[in-house]
Amino acid sequence: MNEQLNQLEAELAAMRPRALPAELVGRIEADIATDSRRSAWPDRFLLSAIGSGAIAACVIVGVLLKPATDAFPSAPPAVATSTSDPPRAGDYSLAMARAEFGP
Amino acid sequence: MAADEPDRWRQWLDRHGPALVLFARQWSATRADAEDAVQNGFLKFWRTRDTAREALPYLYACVRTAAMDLGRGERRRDRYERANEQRDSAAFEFSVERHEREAAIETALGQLPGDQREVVVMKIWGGLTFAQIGEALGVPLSTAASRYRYALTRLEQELSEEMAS
Repeated sequence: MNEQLNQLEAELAAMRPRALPAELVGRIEADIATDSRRSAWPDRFLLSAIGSGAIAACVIVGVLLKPATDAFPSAPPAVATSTSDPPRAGDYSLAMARAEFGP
Repeated sequence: MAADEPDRWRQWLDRHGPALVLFARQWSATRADAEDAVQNGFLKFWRTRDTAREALPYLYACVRTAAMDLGRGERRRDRYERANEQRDSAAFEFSVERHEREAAIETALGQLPGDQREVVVMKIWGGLTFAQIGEALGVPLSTAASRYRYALTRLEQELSEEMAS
């Protein structure tokens, strides 16, 4: 480049573009702050999802590791049965009479 | 986001903001539109800067795209018509003693073809190298350098004619 162009280049470099208005900086700051808040939410969601998954996995493992004998008893529980005959009509009156007059 | 991030964006904006508004002014009807473009472009840059090979050319590319997008809007065209009726304030902070010369330079700068003007703004006020300008514009380094040379030659001619008249 010739001397004149070098001079012009220096002249241009000496000129200062106008500073940014504070209002524009404030707008950008607000947008960046909003972005920061938004980006924090996925992290929290991810952490809570991982925590819930871990708890669910522990429960499943616990269920699977539980002894099989507890789950399926070898003998069915005994059913309470009565060997005596079912009560008949008049049994109640008879019992009352025995209580009052003796056997 | 790292702990020092809150201040880092401000450093970027302080360093490059004024030149970015001047840069965006090329596609904007008014200074307010250029500032909107810088806001949009800077936010996009800040959100996605990790994806860029080199940050500074990427910042200029983001603002350029934002300014072009805003300039295409119909609402902006309406504002452009209003702006033609009443031009907004100067793009530079003029010194008292050189006000006339600097105003002439600004006018001449505004008359440059867009592809030359953007290279001048990026080189002089943005401090980008020709390689970085080439990356921001998607052109070879040699093209960026030759556009810059043509722009300075044309500016020199314009200003000589201006001074002669």
